[in-house]
Amino acid sequence: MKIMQKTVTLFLGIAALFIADGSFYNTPPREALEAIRAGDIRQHINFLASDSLKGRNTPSPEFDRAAEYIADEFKRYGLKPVNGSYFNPFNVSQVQLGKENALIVTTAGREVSYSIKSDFMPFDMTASKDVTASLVFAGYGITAPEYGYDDYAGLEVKGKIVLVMRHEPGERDPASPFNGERETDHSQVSTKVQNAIDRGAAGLLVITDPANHRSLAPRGFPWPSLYEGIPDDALPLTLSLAEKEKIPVAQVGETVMQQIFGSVDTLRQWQQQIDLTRKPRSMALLQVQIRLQTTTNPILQATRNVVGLIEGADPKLKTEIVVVGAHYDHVGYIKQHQEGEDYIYNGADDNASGTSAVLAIAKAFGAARQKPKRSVLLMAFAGEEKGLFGSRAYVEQPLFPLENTVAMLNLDMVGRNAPDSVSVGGNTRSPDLAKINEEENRAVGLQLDYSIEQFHNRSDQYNFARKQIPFLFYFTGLHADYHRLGDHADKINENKIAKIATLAFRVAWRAANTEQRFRLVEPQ
Amino acid sequence: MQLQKLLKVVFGAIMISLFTGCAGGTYKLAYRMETNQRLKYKTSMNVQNSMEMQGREMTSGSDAVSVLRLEVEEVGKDGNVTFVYALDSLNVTATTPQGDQIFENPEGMIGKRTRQIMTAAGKKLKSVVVDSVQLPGLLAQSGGRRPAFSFIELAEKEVKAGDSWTASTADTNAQTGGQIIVAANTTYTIAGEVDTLGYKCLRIIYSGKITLTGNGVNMGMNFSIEGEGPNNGTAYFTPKEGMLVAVVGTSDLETTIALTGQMSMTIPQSTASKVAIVLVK
Repeated sequence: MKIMQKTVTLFLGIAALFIADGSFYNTPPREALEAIRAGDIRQHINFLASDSLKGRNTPSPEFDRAAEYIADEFKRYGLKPVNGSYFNPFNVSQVQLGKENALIVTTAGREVSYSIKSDFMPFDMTASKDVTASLVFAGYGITAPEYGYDDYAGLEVKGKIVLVMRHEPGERDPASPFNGERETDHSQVSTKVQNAIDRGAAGLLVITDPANHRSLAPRGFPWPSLYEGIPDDALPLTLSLAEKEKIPVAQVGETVMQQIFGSVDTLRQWQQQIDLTRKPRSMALLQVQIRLQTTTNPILQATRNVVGLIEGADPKLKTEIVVVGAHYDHVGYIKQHQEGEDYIYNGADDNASGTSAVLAIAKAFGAARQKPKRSVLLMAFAGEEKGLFGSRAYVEQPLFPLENTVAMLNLDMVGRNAPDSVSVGGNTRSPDLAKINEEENRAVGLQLDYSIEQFHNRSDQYNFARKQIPFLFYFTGLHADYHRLGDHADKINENKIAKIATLAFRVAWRAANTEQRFRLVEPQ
Repeated sequence: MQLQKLLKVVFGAIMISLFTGCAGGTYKLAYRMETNQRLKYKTSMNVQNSMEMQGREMTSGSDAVSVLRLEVEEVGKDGNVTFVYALDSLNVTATTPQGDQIFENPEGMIGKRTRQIMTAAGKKLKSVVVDSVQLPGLLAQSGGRRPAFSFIELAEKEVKAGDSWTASTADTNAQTGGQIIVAANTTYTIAGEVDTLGYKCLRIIYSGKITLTGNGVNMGMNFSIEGEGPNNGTAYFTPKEGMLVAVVGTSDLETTIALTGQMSMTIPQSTASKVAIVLVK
């Protein structure tokens, strides 16, 4: 009896130590791990990649059925709705060019009205607005603290129209600090637009950088209504943002460039100077007045992400969020097809596999008797195939403050290729999460590969990274059926998905049970 | 799609101008070839391509060096020339968002012949595939086509230094489930005489516009293409031997590609190319 008492005391003492040092929380509960089952994953994939869902195109009635299925599963696993719903709705739209578009440039009393298409061309992200303001030249329009470069340093652009060049300093220079000859995100027009908006610009004009590019045509966005041979229904679906968050944006061509700078050579010399010195050459062009008007007619359509919450157990840390997500859409089906032939892009690997993994992880969290300290938000994103819309919509209007979102794990295409390996993206950008992933993988035994940096901007983790949220991205590689009719459920390895889901769950569990804030750094 | 255009530019833009002899500073231009005559040209081509999909710009580039062999089979009494052409060598270094690739003398392309018949003025009458080609890796995946080139049409009347003439061409290229029409309208001007590579050459400046239109259905998706851009350069031609000695040129195409079907997409694309052609034999 005495011996027994001693044993119990010893056991309790060890258990207390175990809990006190946090080890208890670092070990995923057995009942949770056991809830991740290959059989469930097979069932999810068979449904999500079935012909009845017709390729889960965003938006479509079949896509809505997939959303209902995921929401029902979240509910069944005990996840909570957020703000009373398992859905996180947002709008997408096909944006037509409106009729009222104008560019008038006034320099030294000379007013010139330019023609759309031949002289200027609005971008598809432009606003329906009419603005008149003086012009500010902001070089490449880049703010890149990681490279010690800021075209906006000391520049006041609030209420002004900003003129920027495409691309980035040293675009053709292997020694450029901007990732050599490989362009960075700073070279994207969308990044420059957001930067101008963030600084309060009233409008943005974009020009081709003349030192590196011969053609100075105003490319902008090729609106079908301006081309004889381009059908109107080729207009892509875009994420619909509130007009107040947008500004008029257009690319201008050589004629406009000549009026503003006197000659293209002047601008070319300025650009060469920036490239050579790596120092901005921004300035207000007070003598240049611009009137820029662009109009669009968006045709709105509603769609939705699916969300489910595991509320954190720690009164303080429960306000912090770990996101685990996967996109659940694919690209639909071929409308013009012969009878009897396959016409549905089932998207079993892309991305019924990742969605099924998220459902498995949701079930595991739901099954855990002790909930994690931080909250965990399970998400299924819409519109990834259209341009990462669901994740972009979320980070623009998040359900929980992004400053409290400590990590994001994304699973996209995790069911094919070698049975025991997974590629992990974000290892250099999110070193703390990568370390946890390596440690947790000791118990799972997958072969980890890190050579997928080129996919960084091709799935939903990208939008979280843009908002400075550390992330990991699980991916098992491309294959011959990628975005083809042959991406069928019978080619998926559900046991492999179960392993990857187990690893992602263990990482999410660790991330949700620490007070540590994880780092996000620029890759070397 | 972009590599298809690359090939089109690499081979389609090879413009070979041949002129006959002259008298008193004027030139009567016509192709003057002999049966069994062989010509070889070395071509260097740099292409920079940029396209924007879903709001993201993707750039690619390539450097291609090839040797083109041309053998005259027959010269008719009417002056029509029948010849076959094929690549003796082709080396391509391509940089794409999917990674870099190098093609060295791809077996499925080297020596694959095309037979062409043209008038003495260079107007293409017929083109027939002799050997089928198999495009390697990335070229095949991106819808690349077999190499093809055309001679330019020459002036019908006698010309002298300072004179210009215009030639218009329209080639219809069959695509899977559709076609693309490449039309060019080019003005040539004799700018003077110059010694080039040991030949007394005419220096001929050309400038013009290329337009591109097309549509079709591929893998269940409808596609439409529309584009245009300038095409400029200089050709060096020896009137005495009646041979092209060199060409240096550039072209800049701004194209819109539209896809409809299970996915709608409007893709702007800019393609800048530089070409240099030199007679090697």
